[in-house]
Amino acid sequence: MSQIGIVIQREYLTRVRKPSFIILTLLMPVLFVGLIVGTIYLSKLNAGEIKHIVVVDETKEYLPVLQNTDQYHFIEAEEGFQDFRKNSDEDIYATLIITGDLLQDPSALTLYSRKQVVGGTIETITSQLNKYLSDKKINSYNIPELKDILEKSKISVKMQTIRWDDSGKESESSAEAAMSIGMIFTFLIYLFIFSYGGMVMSGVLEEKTNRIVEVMVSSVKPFDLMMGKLIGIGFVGLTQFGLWGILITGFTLTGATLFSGTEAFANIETVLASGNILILCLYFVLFFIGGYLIYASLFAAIGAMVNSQEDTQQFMMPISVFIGFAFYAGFYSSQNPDGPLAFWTSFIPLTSPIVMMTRLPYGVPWWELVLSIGLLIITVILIIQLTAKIYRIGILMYGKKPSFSEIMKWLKY
Amino acid sequence: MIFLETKNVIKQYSGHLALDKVSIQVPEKKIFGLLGPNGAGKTTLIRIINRITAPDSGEVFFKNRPLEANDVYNIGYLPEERGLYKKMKVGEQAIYLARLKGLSAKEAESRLKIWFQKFDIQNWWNKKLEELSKGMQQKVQFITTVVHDPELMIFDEPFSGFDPLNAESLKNEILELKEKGKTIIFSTHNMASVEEICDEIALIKSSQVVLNGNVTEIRNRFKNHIFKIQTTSENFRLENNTGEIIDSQKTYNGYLFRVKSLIERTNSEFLSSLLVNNEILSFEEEIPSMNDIFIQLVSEKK
Repeated sequence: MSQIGIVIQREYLTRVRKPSFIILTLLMPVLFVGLIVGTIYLSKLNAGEIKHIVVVDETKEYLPVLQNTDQYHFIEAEEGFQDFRKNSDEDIYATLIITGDLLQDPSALTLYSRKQVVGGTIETITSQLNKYLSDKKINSYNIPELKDILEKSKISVKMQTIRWDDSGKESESSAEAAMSIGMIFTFLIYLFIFSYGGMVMSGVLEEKTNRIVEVMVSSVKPFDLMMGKLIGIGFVGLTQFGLWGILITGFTLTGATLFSGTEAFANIETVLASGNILILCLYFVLFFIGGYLIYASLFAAIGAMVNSQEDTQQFMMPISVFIGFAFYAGFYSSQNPDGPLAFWTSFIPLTSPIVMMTRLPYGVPWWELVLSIGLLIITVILIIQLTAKIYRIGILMYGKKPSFSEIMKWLKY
Repeated sequence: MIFLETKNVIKQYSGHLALDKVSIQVPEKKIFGLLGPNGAGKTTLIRIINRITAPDSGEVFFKNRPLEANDVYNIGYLPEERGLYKKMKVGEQAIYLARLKGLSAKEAESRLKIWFQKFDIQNWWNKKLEELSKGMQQKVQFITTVVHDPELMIFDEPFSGFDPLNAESLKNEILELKEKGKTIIFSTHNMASVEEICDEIALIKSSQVVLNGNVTEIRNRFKNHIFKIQTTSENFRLENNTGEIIDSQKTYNGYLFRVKSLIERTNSEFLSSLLVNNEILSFEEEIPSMNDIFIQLVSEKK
C-alpha cells in the first residue's frame, strides 16, 4: 500500500472506531425519526387530559349548545359565580359567564380562569357558539333552505403547482417540500463541512503538539500526510452521511407502514417517492467533497501554523465568517432561490456548496451547475496547493505564532 | 568507506543562514557524533539528511550516490522533539509507523513482537500510549525508530528524558546496533557519552563545521602539553624555563603536580629530564576531554 493509503487508513479507522462516532451515527437517525414519529403520535393522542369548564349561563339558552369535546367538558354551574371566584378547585380549568343574548350583545360572555387559557379553549367555545348563532340568525330570516344556499355559495379553490421543465414535461412540485428538503441539506452540509473541517484542524494540531510530526515527515512527504488526513477524515464524513441515509430511510419506511394513512407521513412519502432525494444525495456528496476540501485544507493550514488550540481563534475567525455567510446566504436563498444573492453565491466556491444545496430542490439550470462545480474543482486544486505550502513549513515551526508576512514568505518557498 | 556525506550544504531561512557550506563524512559502521551548541544548525542538517527539508545548495550522498526519496526507508530517525499518538494503542501505532517505513503489516507485527520481547514490554501492546510513563514512551519510540532495520540511524539527543539506568541500557543498545554493522549519527550535548561511544565527530558552530575527525585523534590534537606528575618530595625541580608548575597537591603517598611543558620535545625526553632531580612515582600526559574541547571551541570568538 502506498504511504498516503496507509495514512488514510489510520485517519479513517481511528475515528470510525471511536465510541463517540458510533453513538452519534446511530443516535442521530433515531432522534430524527423519533422526533417526527413522536410529533405525529402525540398529535393523535389529543393531549389526553380533559379540561372542565364551568358554565354560568344566565340565559339558560347556550348551555345545551356547548357540546363536550375530547378535550373540554362543560359543566353547568350549580352555585353563583362568586363562589367559583373564591373556590380554587383544581379540577375546574375555567369558568364561562354568559350574561345576555349574544345576538344582541356579542360581547356578553367572559371566560375567567386562574391560569392563562390556551387558544384552543377559546376556539372551541367561540366556534360552537358562532355556529349556533349564525344558524339561529339564518333561521330568523324565514327563507326556506337559506342555509343550504349559503353552504353552496362557500367556494374555496384548490390550486395545484406543477413545474415545466425545459422539454415541457410536467412535474408536480411542492414548494414547501422543496424548501424543507433544501433547508435540511443546507444545514447538513454546513454542519458536515464545519465539524469535519474542525476535525482536520485538531488532528493536525494534535500531531504538532504531540511532536510526532517530525517522526512522520521523516518517512512521509508532508503533502501526502496532509492529503491522507484530508481524505481519511472526508471518508469518515461520507460514512456518517451514508449510514444516516440508510438508517433514516429504513426507519421512515418502517414508520410509514406503522403510521400509513396519516397526513404527515403522506407528505414524507411524496417527498421520498419524488425520486429527487437520491439525486440530491449524490449532489450532496459532490458538494460536500468540494466544500470540505476547501475548508478542511484551510483548517489544516491553521492547525499547522499555531502551537495550541487557543491560538487557532484568531485564524479561525475569517473562515468562520465566510462559512457563516455561506450558511446565511443558503438560508435566505430558500425563500428566493433564483434571486441575485442565491445566483452569485452559488458560483463563489467558498459559498457555493452550501447555497447550491438550498437551490437544488427547486431545480437549477444545468449550465449553472456545471459552472459552479467547475469553479469549485479549480478552487480546490489551487487552495490545496497553497495550504500544502503553509502546512509543510508550519508543522515544523515551534515557538511564536507566525505573523502574516511570515506566512506570505512560506508561500514563496 | 564513507556511508553518508554532505558536500557544501547551504540552507538559508528567512534572513538567517542555518548551514554554511557544511561538509561532513560519516564512515560506514561507525558512530558519528554531531556536536554543537544550541541553534548551531545540527537539527537543520539532520532534517536535510532525512529529506524533511531540502538544502538551498550542496549535495547529500548516500552510499556514494545522491540521496533519493526511497532512502528514507533505510534511515531510522529519533528526533529531539519526539512524540507519539497519545490516544492510540502502543502496538497499533508502532505497526503504523513501521508500515510508513516500508514494512508490510505482517512483517511489522512480527518484528515488533521480537523487540517488545527484548525490552520485556509485551504487556504494553494493547495499552494506550498515554497510560505509559515518559521513560516507557521513550522505549516505544526507540523501537519504532529501529524496527525497520535501517542501515543508517540518526539519534538526536537520545538520552534526554531517560533516567541513568535507562540511559545506560539505551547506550548499550546503540553500541549493539553498531556491532551489527549499522552506521549511526548521534547528536548530543553530553560530552562524556561522546568520548564513550563516538568514533568520529563533527562540531558545528554558527552554521559551520569548525572541527571534525576521529575522537582520539582530535583529543590528542588538542593536547596542551600538561602533565600530571607524582613525586615523593614536595620540592619539584624543573630545568630552568622548560616548564611551569600550574597546580600541586598532596596525595596519600606523595605530591601531585600539574606541569606545563614549555618547550618542544617528546614525552620521553621530558620524563628523562625530570628523572635527574626528582623521584617520580607516576607520569601522565593530560588528554583534554571532549567537554574541554567543546567549551574551548564554542566560547572562542570568530
